Amino acid sequence: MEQIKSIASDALLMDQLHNRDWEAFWLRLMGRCFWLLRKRYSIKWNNEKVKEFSRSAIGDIINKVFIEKKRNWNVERYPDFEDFIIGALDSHINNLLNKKGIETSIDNYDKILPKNIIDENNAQVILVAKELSNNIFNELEKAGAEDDELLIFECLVDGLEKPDEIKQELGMSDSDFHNAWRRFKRRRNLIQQKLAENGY
Amino acid sequence: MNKKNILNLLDNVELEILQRNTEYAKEFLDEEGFNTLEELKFAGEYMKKIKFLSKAVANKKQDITLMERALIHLKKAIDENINQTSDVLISLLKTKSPKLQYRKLENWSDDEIRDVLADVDLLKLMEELENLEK
Repeated sequence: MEQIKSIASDALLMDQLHNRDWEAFWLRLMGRCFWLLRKRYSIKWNNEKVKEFSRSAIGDIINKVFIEKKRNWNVERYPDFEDFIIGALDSHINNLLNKKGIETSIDNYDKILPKNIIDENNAQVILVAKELSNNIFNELEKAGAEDDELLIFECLVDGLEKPDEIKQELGMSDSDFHNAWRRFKRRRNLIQQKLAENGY
Repeated sequence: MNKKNILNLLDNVELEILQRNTEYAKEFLDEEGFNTLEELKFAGEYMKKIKFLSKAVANKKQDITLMERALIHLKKAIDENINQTSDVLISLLKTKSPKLQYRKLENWSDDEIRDVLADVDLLKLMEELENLEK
């Protein structure tokens, strides 16, 4: 009976449907879909195909939640409605890609789940060896990374993975952090390459 | 077991910013060569359709609930007071379902009653039946 209590009521769902800025949320969901397809799964489709796939995936979830009522919002598991939609969307994208014969390993699936549903007791953070992290640090420096980017890199090496945690650790304002992050995220390929060279 | 390395942590930060910051998501999509203005228009129209459909689904659900309540009331009334119930129902059905008017009410199946109820003003019928029960 506990289980039934934690499913959102129709009134709660209608509140989300009618009182949320859906245009902004939709754009963020499209950003997520694009990011997952392009960066996580390295899908080479043209933008039109990525757009159609993403629209269809987001539309499916919204339909299942508000019209078909086949996706129940468990408010205990996902107190935040957006986390619920994102969890459902990530899982749906994974299934759709698998149906198309595109591999999405279980490992990757776990990594894209929202933080609040990962069982921290089972999570094993494998941070790179000191020598390798120093090596990547030097490569980033050589590639022109600025001090604020290198500080962010060190936070990641220390296991921080929440924007707020990093901002707090570095005493950065929102705008300073976002500016630094915009530059730092462009180093992703370099970091990926160095990790791959060392078997990560 | 979830294994994470620096790249996974970097991706988690990126996904969280994309999730929470609309301007950042817009910027990312623009960089990918995606038309965000067109997408905002599409999203607006799509969600308008969802809101409309959701209202239609809710109305249908409400109609079905009302229909089932009327069915229970009607069956109870038929059991308890067949003659008066017939008068009430037949007066309501006069112009709606001529083929059923002259059959005995106790012989109607639930589905036949539902068919007839679909054509009548349920609220008015319920009111009449409740008056009979008093």
